Amino acid sequence: MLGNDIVDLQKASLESNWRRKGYLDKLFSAQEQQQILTSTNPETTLWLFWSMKEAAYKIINRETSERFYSPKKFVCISNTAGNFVDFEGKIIHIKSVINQNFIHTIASSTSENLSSIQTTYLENTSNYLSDFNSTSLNYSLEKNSNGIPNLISKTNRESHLASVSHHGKYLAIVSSVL
Amino acid sequence: MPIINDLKEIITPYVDDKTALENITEDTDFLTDLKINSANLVDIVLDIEEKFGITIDDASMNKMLTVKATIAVIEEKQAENAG
Repeated sequence: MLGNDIVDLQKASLESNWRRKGYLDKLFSAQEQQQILTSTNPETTLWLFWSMKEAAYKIINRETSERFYSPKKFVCISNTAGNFVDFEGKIIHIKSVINQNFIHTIASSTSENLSSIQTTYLENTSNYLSDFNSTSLNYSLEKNSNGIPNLISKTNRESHLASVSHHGKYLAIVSSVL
Repeated sequence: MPIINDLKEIITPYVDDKTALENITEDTDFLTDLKINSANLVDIVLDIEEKFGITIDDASMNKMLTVKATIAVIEEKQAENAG
């Protein structure tokens, strides 16, 4: 299982006042808050941790088909072995790309699959499905009746898990077959 | 004044699609119908705490994805305050 989340840093900075009283307490544990506030760039660390929680939520949401808003149930672990999210004892593997414009985080149930997941970045428009499908040679991106995206092989119609995230100017599609 | 009117006022700054906002009902979903960013849901929870003078615990916040569930949480916390 896989999930991903992208944060447009400019949009996040404009639309979220994370210094507001109570904001961090509702989303992050005391330990996460300490790591955020003592890091060289607290805002970047905050959105990195947030994207880790969101990407991991997408995996749990797909596995359980349950929707909920409990960011603190997703515990961010950042150490020399890498980044992970612990959800009720289940360890989710994380990799992220951080640049000046966005933070993009990919989550996977297994570390082996994490290394094989590839990303396509597109402009975040309402036409992204047709944009992707007109440029992709081998796969078409289709959403099933539950809104879950899959990449369908154009040659044998085989279906592969995909995950789409978008925020502000950016959109990312991840899958192990891209 | 019904709670839904106060709620509509609170969520307005976080909704780009003003038509969807005009058509708000108890069944409206903050994320799928109003396209509210999940990082702003916490702002809505904090605004509700301030407006209604209540404290929303994590277990209650867990459910606050729709108008109906949010009104139920507000009413429950108001009843606790009154009792």
